Amino acid sequence: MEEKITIRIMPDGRVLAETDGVNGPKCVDYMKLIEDIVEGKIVKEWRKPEFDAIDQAVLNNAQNQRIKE
Amino acid sequence: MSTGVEIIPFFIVMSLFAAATGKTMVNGMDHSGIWKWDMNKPKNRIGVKTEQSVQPELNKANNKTSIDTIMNDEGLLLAALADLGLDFINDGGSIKISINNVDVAFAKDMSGAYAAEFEGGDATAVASLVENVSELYKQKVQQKVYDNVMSRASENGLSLESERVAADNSITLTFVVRRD
Repeated sequence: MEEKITIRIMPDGRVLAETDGVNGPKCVDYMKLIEDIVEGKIVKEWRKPEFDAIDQAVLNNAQNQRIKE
Repeated sequence: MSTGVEIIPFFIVMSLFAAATGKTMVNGMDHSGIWKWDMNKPKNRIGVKTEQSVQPELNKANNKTSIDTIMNDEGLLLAALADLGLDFINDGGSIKISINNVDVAFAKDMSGAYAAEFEGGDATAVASLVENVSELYKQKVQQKVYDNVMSRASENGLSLESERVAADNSITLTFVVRRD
């Protein structure tokens, strides 16, 4: 799946940005990138269910691996 | 979508942004709306909602009235003043303009934001002017952010997929992350 970043620049100067198709903590890297590109500071952050779902999947896989070992 | 953020550009003073947009939280209560300054009662604000998003305050010590703003970038402020056709003097310490024979000086306060200071005259007219300058300033911030994003996206591995301007004048840019 393609990774996308949507940046919405509001008329009052605020910026809203969201990632699409980006898994787990990689989102944070992209948001830091957007923060740098915009020249601003993140003041609010929200996570969509997929973020934690991916994290949980990775965690479960790691736990399963340990059990097998 | 996986995650989202709100970013305030460095060209806007964050601590004042909520107040200037008419959204203030006091004791957990939303006090939306703007205070209107009553010229006949200096230092007193009356809690009437107005269209003004600037809040004149009288300093009794020097008898000057000041209006806080969200602006902190000299270049963008000067550009906004120029767009309004206002002549200004930039003496390095402050930016001075004159409206209806009232001298108004924009100088940075402790927070790094410009405050407009003036003495006497029609405070409502000055407040209205500062409001207009602030609105133009925000448009220039939007343009600057747009320019920043468009000029830096490609070198950071982002390819523009679509661009659209909504009815509220917000600009939405969608980028695809390149895998190279």
